[in-house]
Amino acid sequence: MPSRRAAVALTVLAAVSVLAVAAWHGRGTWNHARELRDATTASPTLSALFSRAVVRLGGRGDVACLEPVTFYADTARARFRARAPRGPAPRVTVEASGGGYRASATSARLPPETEGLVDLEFAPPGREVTGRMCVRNRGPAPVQLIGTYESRSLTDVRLSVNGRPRPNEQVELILLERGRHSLRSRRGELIARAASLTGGLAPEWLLWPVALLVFGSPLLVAAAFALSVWRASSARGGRGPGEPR
Amino acid sequence: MATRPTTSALRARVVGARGSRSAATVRELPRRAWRRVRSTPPALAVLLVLAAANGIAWAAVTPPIHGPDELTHVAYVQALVETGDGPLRDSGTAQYSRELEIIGQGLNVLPIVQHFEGRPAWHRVDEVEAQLEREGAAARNAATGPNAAAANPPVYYLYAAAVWELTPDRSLLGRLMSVRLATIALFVVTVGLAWLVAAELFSAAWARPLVAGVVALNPKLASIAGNVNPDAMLVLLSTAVLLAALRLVQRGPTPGRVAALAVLALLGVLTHGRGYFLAPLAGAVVAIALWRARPPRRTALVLGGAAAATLALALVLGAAWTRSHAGGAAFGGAAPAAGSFVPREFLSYVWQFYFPRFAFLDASVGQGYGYRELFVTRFFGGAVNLEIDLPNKAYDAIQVGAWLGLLAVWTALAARWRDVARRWPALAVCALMFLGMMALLHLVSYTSIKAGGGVVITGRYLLPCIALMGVAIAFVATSLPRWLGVPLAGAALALASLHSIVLLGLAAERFLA
Repeated sequence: MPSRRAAVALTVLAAVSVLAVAAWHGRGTWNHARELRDATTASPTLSALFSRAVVRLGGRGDVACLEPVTFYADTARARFRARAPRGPAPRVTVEASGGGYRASATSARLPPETEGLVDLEFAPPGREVTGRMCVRNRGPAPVQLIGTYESRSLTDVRLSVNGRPRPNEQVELILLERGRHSLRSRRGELIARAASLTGGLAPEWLLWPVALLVFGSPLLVAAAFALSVWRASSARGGRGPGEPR
Repeated sequence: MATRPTTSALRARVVGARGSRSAATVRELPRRAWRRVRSTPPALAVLLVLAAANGIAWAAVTPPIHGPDELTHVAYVQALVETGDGPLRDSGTAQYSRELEIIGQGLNVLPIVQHFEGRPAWHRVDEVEAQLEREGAAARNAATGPNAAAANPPVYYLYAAAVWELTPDRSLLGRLMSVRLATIALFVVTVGLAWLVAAELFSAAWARPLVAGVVALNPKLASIAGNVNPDAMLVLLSTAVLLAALRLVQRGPTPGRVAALAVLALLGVLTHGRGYFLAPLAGAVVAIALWRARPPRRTALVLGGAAAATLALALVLGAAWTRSHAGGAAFGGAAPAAGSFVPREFLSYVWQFYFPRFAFLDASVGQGYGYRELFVTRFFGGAVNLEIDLPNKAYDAIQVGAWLGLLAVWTALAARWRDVARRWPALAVCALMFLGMMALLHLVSYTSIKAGGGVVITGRYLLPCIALMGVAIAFVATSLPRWLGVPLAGAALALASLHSIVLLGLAAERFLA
């Protein structure tokens, strides 16, 4: 019978092999979870996958509005795609409103003949509010807002331009929290969001231990594997009948 | 490795197994089952819990009806519940019910497919549930098609429909989650079966957590199990067929073992068109087992005949279901009707799927989709409608690792050929299973391409053979001296674990952040 010491050594080797490889390769994952990134609060309307819609705000004061749009308590940024077809460089203002909440922000001058994402910060509502979000051309040149008219990408939000409804057409709008945050720092928020769409069958109190189990799986796997190796090597003492020497 | 039983011993077992269980034995069953549960090895218990946790995590992270083709599968379940029959592929009243439309649009889960900037509307749950309440039973209108999933045979959907009806949570989100949880239960059972497969093949006890761990930690399987999707049941039944086949060829044919294999294969065929390979596999396995055991002619005829009849019944039932619900679809609905099959072109397509083209071959019809896409990028990544992906350098590393793994399997086979030759039936089962599945997938994809339907072969289609992946790793690890094999197995488990964490983390970032 091989020594108990050999069995212990093999068991330790089993556990260490799992943990060492997990730790070595897991650094990237850990760092990824700590990286700062945008935090989306809602995506009332989406970009185009295939068919772009271009909504023209031809002159100063022209306005495109999306409704209904829900602003979470911490919503403080709006991101949309715009283009200034010609100079001089125009500005745009976003106006968020609803349920007694009102906030706005104006962009810097948009570079002419360039398309890009416009990202504007405004005061957060501090509570959940459903209302509307408008983008107003401050002049002096036209502005094009980019969106989609493909049916598969259209949401339940309605678009109007200067008060006139534009059915089956939307401009892209993403709402975000102020600043950038790591996934790790938002873990409670992510768990709450995950639980909200499960019909109450996976509530937050259940998802916390589930998350611990999943993200702690290398530890559990190391323990399970080491236990198996220990049982195998200490019970029969070594080699199984088919194992090579 | 277990000692191979002699032919006479196998024959004795066949003859001895004719007796039926006494009533007393039947009464003992619950107690024996409980004893068995209590004697579950702790390592297996840990892996079962991890599998359940992985499945639940994917179910929570993936928005409702957002999984691969999940809307069509849910519509199928709802059609079964509401009408007592499956939907039709090409006609019917609607693709899906008003209820599903409300939830899909109201919670934003349908528009955001492939929109990486899009998120579900978490804040609208109460509003959407109130709307569902207002619309009442009328919104559960029977949507009888057209439904692309209609060609699938009904076994999984019957299981899901039972859960849909029996769940105490009567809300639509609750029903959807209930079916997802029931599908996760299939995944957990699959992990247990993988453990038993390893126990059947390897005497080294530490191979069992390795094989079961590879299955439990596979994020692709966990993500599928966290959705409403018949693939999870097909994986379970394929793994069960593998186990039954190994037992049959290694322990000898008894009526119970032959029946178990045939019935499992029948269920597999009636779960999904991609399960059709299980019928010829089971037939071949029964033939091998009878050939080895050489029981009395009458016994052989009874066992072989019963198995053949069961498998033929499976194919007939599967084909009948598909024909009645999906017209001319072939292979259990996995492809359009077979047509314009050119053997030379098919062989050229299969060759060029894996290897560079010879000058004398025409260009492949495969649309540039080859083994890297299938075995690397779509199997290790591309979860949830291909929205969750790894960086390219990770795929490059996986591809190198896969090649090294194949080389290692080949080397281990060569080094242990005497050992392997002694146990050729087990090797034959594993090889036939993999080759049968791949042959069917290539045939279906080729047929689909020829019919103008595009490539229909993707990573999750390999999952029915997921236990074989674990077996291959365990074979290499147990072929090495233990001081090398154990750390290699540990490293494989660690990488599987990280793979699971990374894909789930990316999914959380995609849908929740």
